[in-house]
Amino acid sequence: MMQALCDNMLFGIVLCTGTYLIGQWCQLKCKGSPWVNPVLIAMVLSVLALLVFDIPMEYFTQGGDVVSMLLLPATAMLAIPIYNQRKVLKENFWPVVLGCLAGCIANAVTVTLLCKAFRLDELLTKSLLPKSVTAPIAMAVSEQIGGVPAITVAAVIFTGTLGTVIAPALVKVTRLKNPTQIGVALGSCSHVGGTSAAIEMGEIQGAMSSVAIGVSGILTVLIAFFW
Amino acid sequence: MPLIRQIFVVFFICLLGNFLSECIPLPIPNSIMAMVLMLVLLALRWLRADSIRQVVDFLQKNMVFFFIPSGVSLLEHYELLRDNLAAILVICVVSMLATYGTAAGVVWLVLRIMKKGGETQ
Repeated sequence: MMQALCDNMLFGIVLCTGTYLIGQWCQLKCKGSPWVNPVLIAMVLSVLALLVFDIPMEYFTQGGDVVSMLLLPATAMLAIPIYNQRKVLKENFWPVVLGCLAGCIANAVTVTLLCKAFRLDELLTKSLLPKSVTAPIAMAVSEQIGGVPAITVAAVIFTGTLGTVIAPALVKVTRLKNPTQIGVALGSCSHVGGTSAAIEMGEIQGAMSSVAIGVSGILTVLIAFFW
Repeated sequence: MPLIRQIFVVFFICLLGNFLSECIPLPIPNSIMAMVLMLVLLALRWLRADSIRQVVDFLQKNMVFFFIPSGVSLLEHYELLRDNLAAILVICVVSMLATYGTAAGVVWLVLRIMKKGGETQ
């Protein structure tokens, strides 16, 4: 019976949208608190539904793929805020590039040190190193330096989701005001997750964040060559 | 632009981007390739952002939502992560914060240096 209900493309779409609506309702009930994140709630509820009702992942993936496929055009269309803000970008070229470079280095250093501290083995370390850039680049770099791409993808998704959830709170707590600064910081630490939050803050933040994804990605690929 | 035409334009650019990223030997993701294509089209004024407004607004407003299936798929990777789950989570959080702080700090620093440079001139 579960198969009749769920073994199709519709189920995944219904589960994602339904749990997201529940998440939005929860946030509403908590007076719009940024800590009550609808996406996080949707993910948790969806996973729980699959586990509790013993629904195979393959059933969900059919619909899930439709939803996640839209990430591609969504990312591509980030070109629009970048183009609209090209003047600001030109003026801030060095802060953006150097900021991303510093971010990449900070990521590599902290991941390496913490992995040593936790005594994680080298395979895991190599898998976690590229996690702050966007998934496709992270996977490519991971394979190149000898990590396990599946682990890298998990870390990337976790980082991106974390970025979406805590970005507003993070910006508030660190009292950042400059939109370029906010955008670069969010984009370089949590790629598209941070960027989606940045866009909601303003077009400059969104544009800077989008550029940061690209620049950080390129820098990470280059750094990986020399690692 | 009518909706179907907007969808055609957006997805065609993505299709091209995907195609190019497969053909070009550099590790450029299809989404970045499509973004670059889009930038070129905008810069050449071959496409106006306004003409695909509805589709772009939908994509932009709901970008976070499109992440949900990826998060759910983490369940599949659970086995790989289980042994070191706590450590991995801590590492991700701490390094993310470090990256955020360092990037923000350096941006501020460079902006300040540039401003000072501008003033002395």
